[in-house]
Amino acid sequence: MNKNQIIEKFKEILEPYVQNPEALENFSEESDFINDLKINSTNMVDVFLDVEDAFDIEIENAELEQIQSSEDAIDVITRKLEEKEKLSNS
Amino acid sequence: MGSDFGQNAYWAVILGGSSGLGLASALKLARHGYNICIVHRNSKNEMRMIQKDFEEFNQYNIKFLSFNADASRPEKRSFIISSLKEGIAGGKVRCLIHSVSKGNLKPMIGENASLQNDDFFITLQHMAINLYDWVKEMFHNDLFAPDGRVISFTSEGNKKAIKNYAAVSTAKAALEAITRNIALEFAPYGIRANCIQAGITDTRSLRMIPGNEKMKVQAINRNPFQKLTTPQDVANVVYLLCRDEASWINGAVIPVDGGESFC
Repeated sequence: MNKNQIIEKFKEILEPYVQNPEALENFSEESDFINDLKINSTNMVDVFLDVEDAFDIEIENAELEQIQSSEDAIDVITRKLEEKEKLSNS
Repeated sequence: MGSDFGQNAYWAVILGGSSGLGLASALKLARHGYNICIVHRNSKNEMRMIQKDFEEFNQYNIKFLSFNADASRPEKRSFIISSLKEGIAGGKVRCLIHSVSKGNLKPMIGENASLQNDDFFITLQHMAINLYDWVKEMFHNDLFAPDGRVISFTSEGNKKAIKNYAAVSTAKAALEAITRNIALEFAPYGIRANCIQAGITDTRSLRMIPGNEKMKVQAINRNPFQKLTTPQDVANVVYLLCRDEASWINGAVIPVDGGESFC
């Protein structure tokens, strides 16, 4: 899965939680979950539960706490997918 | 412990059944021969602990189903209800328990992260209106037993003002109103709906509330028995409400707190 595909899939996950659809259309790695996309803070937990399901990855709590921006989220997803691929090839 | 039902075991559906009051209630009912369906939402990390808790269900001679999905999403709800219908193969649900805890705990005043309009709506949706959606869809799928039970969990925050608790407090008041109206409008179809008002119980949800340590100390001090409510205390009353003998209790808010709330 390349970066664009990851971003597209991530946007699909965000969609039900986003309260500012315009910001989702203009989504970039700089998009802020709370200030730009207007995702309610309670729903941020659900976003990453959905990420775990959709990408079939596991995100540790410590890693979750480190995610501040969309860029962080995409980095974590990318890294997890790479780790998964390595495991399946080994 | 022997089964209360023998071969014709009923089902209990527990929304929010992976910890706290929901899990304790599920385990209690399983010990008495209920088949159990738990709906919960947890991360893969949390699932490792929860799987261990769920293993206890295998000790009892019952059927056990679990769904890790957001119970308040309509498409998930429909999927779970149709899977349940298939899974129980003609069986009936005696009891639907609502123990979902997902809400905002924010102060009304403060520069950062203060309570907003949408915090109320999201909390209401998950902790109150969700109950109605489930009762209605399960009813239309003909899943309830002739003498069904709906049980929801409220708290003293239904009437008391607690800092940071405004959204949840609002949801608890609404949950009680919704439960009461279910008690009225579904009575002709045999459903009894009640709220259990648990005393301060040391669950994961309580530990999310800022100042919970102080709340626990205060609760112990004023409780006639000088102790906190346990999830098992609450589960015991869930079981009582599910018994045939409880069929005339309907639309009530029942304190299960050792007397804490009148002190």
